Amino acid sequence: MRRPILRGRPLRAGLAGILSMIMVGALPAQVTWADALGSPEALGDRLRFQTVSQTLLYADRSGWPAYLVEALWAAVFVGVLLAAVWLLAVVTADEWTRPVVVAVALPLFAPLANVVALVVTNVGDLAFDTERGENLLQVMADAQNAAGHVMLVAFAGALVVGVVHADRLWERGPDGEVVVSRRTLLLLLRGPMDTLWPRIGVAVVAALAGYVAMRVAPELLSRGFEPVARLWCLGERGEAGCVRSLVGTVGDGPPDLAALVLDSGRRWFLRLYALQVFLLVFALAWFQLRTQPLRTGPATTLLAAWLAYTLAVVTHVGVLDAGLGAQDQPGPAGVLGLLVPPSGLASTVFTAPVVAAGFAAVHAAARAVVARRRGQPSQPGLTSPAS
Amino acid sequence: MSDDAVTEPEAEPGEQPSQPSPPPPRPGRVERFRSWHRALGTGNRLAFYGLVATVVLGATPLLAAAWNAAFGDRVAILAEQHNGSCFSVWTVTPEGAGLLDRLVQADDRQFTRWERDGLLVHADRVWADVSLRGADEAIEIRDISITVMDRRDPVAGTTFGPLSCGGEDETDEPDYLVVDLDTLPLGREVPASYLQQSDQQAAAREEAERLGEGIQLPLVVRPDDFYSFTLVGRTMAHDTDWQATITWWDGQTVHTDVLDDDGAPLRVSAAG
Repeated sequence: MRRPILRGRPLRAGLAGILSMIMVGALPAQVTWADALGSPEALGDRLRFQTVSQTLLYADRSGWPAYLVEALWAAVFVGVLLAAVWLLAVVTADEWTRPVVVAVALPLFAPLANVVALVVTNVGDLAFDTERGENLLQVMADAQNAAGHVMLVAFAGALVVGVVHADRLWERGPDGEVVVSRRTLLLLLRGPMDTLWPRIGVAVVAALAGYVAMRVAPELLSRGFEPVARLWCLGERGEAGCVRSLVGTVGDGPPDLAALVLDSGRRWFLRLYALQVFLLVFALAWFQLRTQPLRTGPATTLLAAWLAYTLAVVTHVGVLDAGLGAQDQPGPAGVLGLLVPPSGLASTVFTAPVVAAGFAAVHAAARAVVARRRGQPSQPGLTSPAS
Repeated sequence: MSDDAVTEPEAEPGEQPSQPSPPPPRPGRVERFRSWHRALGTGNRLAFYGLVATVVLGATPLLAAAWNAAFGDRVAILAEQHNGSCFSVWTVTPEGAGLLDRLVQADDRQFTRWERDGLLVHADRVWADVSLRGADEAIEIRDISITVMDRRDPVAGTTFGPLSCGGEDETDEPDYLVVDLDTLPLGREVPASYLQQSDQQAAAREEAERLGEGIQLPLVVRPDDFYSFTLVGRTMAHDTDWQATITWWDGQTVHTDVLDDDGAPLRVSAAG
């Protein structure tokens, strides 16, 4: 029997979705529309604006030179994204579960892949220009502003992966039984009953750690990036200012309420609401991903933390924005207005990978300690159960 | 492990391993990489090369920064036309009329693109920041000459700007070179000495003094220092293409560099 073109090949399915979305975004009509629109107000406009290629829209050229750059950007973006996603999927999942990991990881990794692609397409300005600091700042700001767009592009890939594998919902096993029944679906969402409470406990602890991480990660990231920024800005005009703005952009965190809300009572309640939402979303996302039949290594922790942190920060900032009156429309339109585009995404471009790596590092360290106590070296596949 | 070096000479002549078939030694890293590489399909091999190229390109800026930090920069000259809504006045051509409502929020790069596409053009004045970074030796700027390359009838359209956003563009060396382009000969380089003396350029010199200070040549840039000035071209009657040429001396050779809009001539048209 011939192997299907897309089914069972999540990478290819993802590529198909991503490429079609990139092409939709690069249509001349899209750029012309966005040029004439300015900053979008209505919800539909805002949604469509996220589909327009940001590299073409904010390019200083049009025509074939712009499309040449766009093609290079797309090649690097897709290449880096798919390579990273595939590596993670192979490490964390077996062949059956791999499409799930690919679909989850595609949108998550997209903003970082975009940073790499933007650095490569701007390599001339970054390496040889007299205003290197300003150029890097522009690249970083572009990466933050385009996070929503590239996530949407990658989400199209995830959607195709999902649709191609949707027939699993009514697939029958060798014994003629329906594989995904109401019972097995519950098991997939909840996991085995006997480990339910410990898993809930771990999710809550992870959520608390995630909240602490959100508070300290921007600062840590700024400190860690400072030597690089110093090296980068060396000899630049206005060296101190250059370092300050680069470090500030990398360590971009959620909005500081103390400066925005003067009423201390309101501030306290707003913080409480935002904290609750953060913990809830983080814990749910974490729990759900850890319930999937994935290997229990640090790579899975990386994915879970990345997913949970990104979702939690986005909703957290959404609550803060709502509290600050960023949206005055009532009902679903207002809620959607807060999340299209999600203003919290910008701060996750650089912090989410670092927080996720931190979680994975803690997991790896803990595993090494446990393995040493048992007197055996830590070996993936031996100390961790294969799925 | 530390006594390996001591025991080695003793072990060498005498004892041979007595096992019947020793396992073959594990191939080296290079050999393993080679066989892995051989086993790759065409698509995967291309993807691998692409990733290697990406890593190399991505690391280039940081390597360049490290190189500059270690060995110092060479002299660099950058001319950048002011494109934006804060300072510039634009004539929006009929083809660009659809953009009028949204110019207020546009990104500078969009202005650049629209200008290149002929949707708008600088009106009356075009400003360009010229910045110069010195190297290990002091350099002397000897001349800045202006060449008017083409002259046409002014562009018709709607005038927009400036918005005077404020705050931006504070330079500690507010030197200006303002040129009235209408009176300069077509296709001929006009040296700074003429601009600084001619009666026809008196109004332009006055504007330079009003904005900051008129540039005084020749001018020395100390080692590892910066110098910048603003080049302003004015026109009252034409749509003008022009460029400037800067002549500088590094103690050994005289260099000339063209100051233009990223390869294209600077362009300014009289407001309709």
